[in-house]
Amino acid sequence: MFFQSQLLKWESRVHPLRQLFWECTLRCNLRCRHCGSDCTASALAPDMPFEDFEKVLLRIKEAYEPKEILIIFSGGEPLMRKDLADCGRRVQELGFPWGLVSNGYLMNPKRALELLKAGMRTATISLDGLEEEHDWMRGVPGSFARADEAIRYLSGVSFLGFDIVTCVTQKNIGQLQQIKEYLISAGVKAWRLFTVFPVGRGATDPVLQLTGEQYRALMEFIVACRKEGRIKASYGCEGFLGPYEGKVRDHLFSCQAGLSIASVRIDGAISGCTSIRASYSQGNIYTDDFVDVWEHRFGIFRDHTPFKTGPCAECRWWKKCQGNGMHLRGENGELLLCNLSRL
Amino acid sequence: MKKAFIRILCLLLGVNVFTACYGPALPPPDQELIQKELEAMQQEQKAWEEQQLQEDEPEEEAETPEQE
Repeated sequence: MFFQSQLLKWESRVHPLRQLFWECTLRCNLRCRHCGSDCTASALAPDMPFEDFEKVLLRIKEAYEPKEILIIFSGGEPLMRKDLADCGRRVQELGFPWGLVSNGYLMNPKRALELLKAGMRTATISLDGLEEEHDWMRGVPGSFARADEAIRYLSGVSFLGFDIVTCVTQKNIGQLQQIKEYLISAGVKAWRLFTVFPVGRGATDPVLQLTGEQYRALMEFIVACRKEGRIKASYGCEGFLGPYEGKVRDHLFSCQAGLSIASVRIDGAISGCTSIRASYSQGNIYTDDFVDVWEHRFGIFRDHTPFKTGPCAECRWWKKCQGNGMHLRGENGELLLCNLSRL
Repeated sequence: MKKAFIRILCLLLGVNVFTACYGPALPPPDQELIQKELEAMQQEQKAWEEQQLQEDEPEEEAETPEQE
């Protein structure tokens, strides 16, 4: 589609920063089987002092309109930080809206209220099944009960942008209908489903990978949910989907990493989103000016032409896909996963 | 002007621009509504905590003679 490729070129040129992830800790209280981050390195990587991140925000505030940039606290598990509400309050004072991604284990009503008062305006809670499946996936008994408490509380907050994210695996693919009914009964309005990408602990576990048939069934399930309209289901940003484009997401696929999304990693590295390999870091907050990096680097994020090799070289979908999501690329640019090939 | 044109074009084509991998959309910042709801939530939380305290008290009283 002509307009789509033009739009991508325009986005690359304009690249307005809209979402900034802050990997504020690598500590985590769960042991998720599919974890794609380096949470095991927690002992070696201390939490980033908020003052260091605050300097970045002050610089961004000089260059851009803060109210247009959503700051997202991610991890590890951000609620492991006891000073999270203080961080949030300061972020809000600087004029940025903020939100978080959490497993919900530590999100009891008291903590949630504290965060909401500190300006939290969006939240995502991970839920990977009903009790047995979720606890199995998360590696800690009782984690479903805690996530359930968080979900029921947060879904009732009218001014909070709230959704649930579910990793679909062989373990829970047969249970999607029940999970959907549970979420609806808990008051959830938005549900994002995604599949494991081959990085981190989940890379080698066959139980976590769907077969081609299961993957197609997942797409059909999302299409059916969207038609039904009782909950707004959508597929995560796991790449270009060919015939399912426009049917399982609100928008056509384009990897927004480096176009409108940036991240500050635990070690200060500046990158696109936090799921992208470390070799794609474009600078570091301790040695570079964030705004300068955002404006003048990120070349590979804004022009994927070097990825037009291997299976992408002759692919007829290249113009629309542009070499898939950045997080689906290996250290050397190799394509790790093409979900389109499973459809 | 060019930006506005492209945005309108995208709207007409039903294409959401700059939607991202992080899902929830930011709701409109209606401060008055937020304040009201936060106050109600605070009261609810306070009432719940007080109720918990009251529920705990009889148990403690019941335990006291045994401890003595």
